[in-house]
Amino acid sequence: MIRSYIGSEIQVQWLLRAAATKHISHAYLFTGPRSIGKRTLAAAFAQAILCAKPDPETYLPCGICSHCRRVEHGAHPDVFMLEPPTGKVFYSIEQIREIIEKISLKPVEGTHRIFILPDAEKLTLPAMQSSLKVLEEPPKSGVIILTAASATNVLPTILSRCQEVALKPSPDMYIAQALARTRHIELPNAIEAAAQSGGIPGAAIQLLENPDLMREHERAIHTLHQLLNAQLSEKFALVDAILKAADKNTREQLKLLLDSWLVWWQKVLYISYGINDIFYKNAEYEALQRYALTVAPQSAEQFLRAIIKAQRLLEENCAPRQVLDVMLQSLPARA
Amino acid sequence: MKVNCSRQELGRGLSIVNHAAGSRSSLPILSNLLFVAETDKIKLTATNLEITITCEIPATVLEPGSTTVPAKLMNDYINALTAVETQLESLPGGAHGLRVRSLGSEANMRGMDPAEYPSRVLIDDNEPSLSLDTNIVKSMIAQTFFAAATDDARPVFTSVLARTREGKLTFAAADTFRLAVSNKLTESTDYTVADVLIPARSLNELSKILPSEGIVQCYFSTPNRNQVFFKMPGIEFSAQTSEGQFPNFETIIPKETSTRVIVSTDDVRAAIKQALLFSKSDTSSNIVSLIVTPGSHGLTPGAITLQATNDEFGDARKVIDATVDGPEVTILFNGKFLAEVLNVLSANQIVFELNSPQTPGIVKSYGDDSYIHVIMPLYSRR
Repeated sequence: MIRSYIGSEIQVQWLLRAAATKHISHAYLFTGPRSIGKRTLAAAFAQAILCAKPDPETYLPCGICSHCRRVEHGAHPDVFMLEPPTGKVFYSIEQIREIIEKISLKPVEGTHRIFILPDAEKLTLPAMQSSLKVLEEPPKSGVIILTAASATNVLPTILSRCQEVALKPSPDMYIAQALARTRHIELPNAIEAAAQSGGIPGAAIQLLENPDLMREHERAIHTLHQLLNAQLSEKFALVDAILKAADKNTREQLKLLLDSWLVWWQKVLYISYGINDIFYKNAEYEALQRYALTVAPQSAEQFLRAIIKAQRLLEENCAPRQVLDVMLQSLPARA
Repeated sequence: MKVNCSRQELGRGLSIVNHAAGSRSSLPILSNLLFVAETDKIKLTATNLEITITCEIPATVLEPGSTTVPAKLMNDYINALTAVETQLESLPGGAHGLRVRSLGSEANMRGMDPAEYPSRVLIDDNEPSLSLDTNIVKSMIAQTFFAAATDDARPVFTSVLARTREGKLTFAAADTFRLAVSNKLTESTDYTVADVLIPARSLNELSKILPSEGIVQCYFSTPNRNQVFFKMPGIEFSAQTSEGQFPNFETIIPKETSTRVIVSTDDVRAAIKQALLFSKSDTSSNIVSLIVTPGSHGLTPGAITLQATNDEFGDARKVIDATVDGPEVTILFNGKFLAEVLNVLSANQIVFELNSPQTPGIVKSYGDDSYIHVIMPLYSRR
């Protein structure tokens, strides 16, 4: 599983070395945006810790010993992948108690007992608090891996007990090549998906698996171009059209739209600052570059922030039309 | 695999291993039983990762092999059969699971890949061990496991400490309010391994499957040191040990006591039963006062009084004649703790060894120091 993991090479190397040399911390917090592979990396790290014969040079787990295979199938008796109870959004405090109970036993077969708790944001305050003791001082064979979108999403008291591993987006080219190599995807398709992924390997994989998402993205960029070329009065008409097209699923559709815009706009910002060697020079790039030359980096950044704010406001249940209207006020005027 | 075996034997084996079958587990395979057929027997294995039980039952093996089937379904199905003989066979087409045939009945049960079953601890026969009578093990468990904590605030107290040293086996359990220490001399004086912590819950399961007589081989250390292992004829039981350091319990046992009371066990048992009815309330924790009155120079016998008071509905006391050596003392105890320790003392007379209202007291059988129970006193706001 680690062999097909894409991105964050330094962090991956560091974790592999820690696992192979048994310098393992008692608690980790993997942070990074959605779909970047926090959970995948946590499972791969568990595999590396338990592998009976890691490669002495690359520290890679062998992938064929019984430990490796069972971690991969989610059937290892010393690896516990948690998720909130069925039908619930949050973890229950009983699940934390169960961890405390189970972690005090010695490993069944391996050298460690590993508890993976994805999306630590879904811990309620009492659950977070009751986990503090075990996070601070688990028994010596216990390893707890939390994941969260950002380190600020967990209590500072949890953060201070964990070793943070921050996963960052990767350059498009890197993702495209990695997808072509590990998943045997035709390079042009891989490039197209990577270019729309915003540097997030998991997003690129989703795009490849779901062509609808890809078309959705193209449509979103098309709308963006329309907006950029529109007069003020036309802009309001376009917002109407967006909301109408989104129909019932307004929020979900808008989130997808904003995700696409964010990816596109990030590139505008990079290019306007003169960073352009991380992109493939394809047709989309040409369009980006033509546009990027017409905006000042400051206004590009301003609109990027407006998109992020709009995403947050939508998350907080603000009215979609107002969110869009406010956001579009920051849309840079054409020079 | 393909085997013929007695339905009754199979049912017996299933009822034993089912003690370890996991129900609320994150690993789906744990709700399955592992069947391994070899030479002249079937080995049934169940585990919930805390304990693993393996039971062998005699069988005519036509084709050796292994598979897994859902534990509960298999157990319930075999119990619902009426025939004397059953035949177990792998599902056709290489699917995992079993076909069970007996006297016209036939059932196909789908299972999972036996390769995913957690591997079992294997013990070499040459590995050092202790041979103990099952009744000794049973009584040592009974005498200690109830004193272990049931909450998870301090995991080390949910376990029983097992210590082997100089021809003596010691079980100790504590929950910070009481301490139970059971010692037994063993025949082999050279068996010494590091202290291990065995979850009290696991020991309780062991005592449920211990046969009523015979010998149990106890391995308090396994090659990877993470389990304890008990071997009985046809049955193997292993339990994961706990991480942690048990506190030095010997320092908790008072070395000297000023007042020593010898009293009839049955009388105290009755007195506590009576007092407990009056000791329950929201504000106190089953407070029972133990008042020791020494006799006066051979003219009157000594006595102890067990009494309880409830603000709401009254009070009760019972005075029991006792042999008292030492000064007068009154100590408050949690009556529930006293009742629990009296349940496991079988001697006709018991001994209380006490110092002052602020220091822990000792309860044990008269003339037998192999089991010592220490209870912390309570303070009353009254």
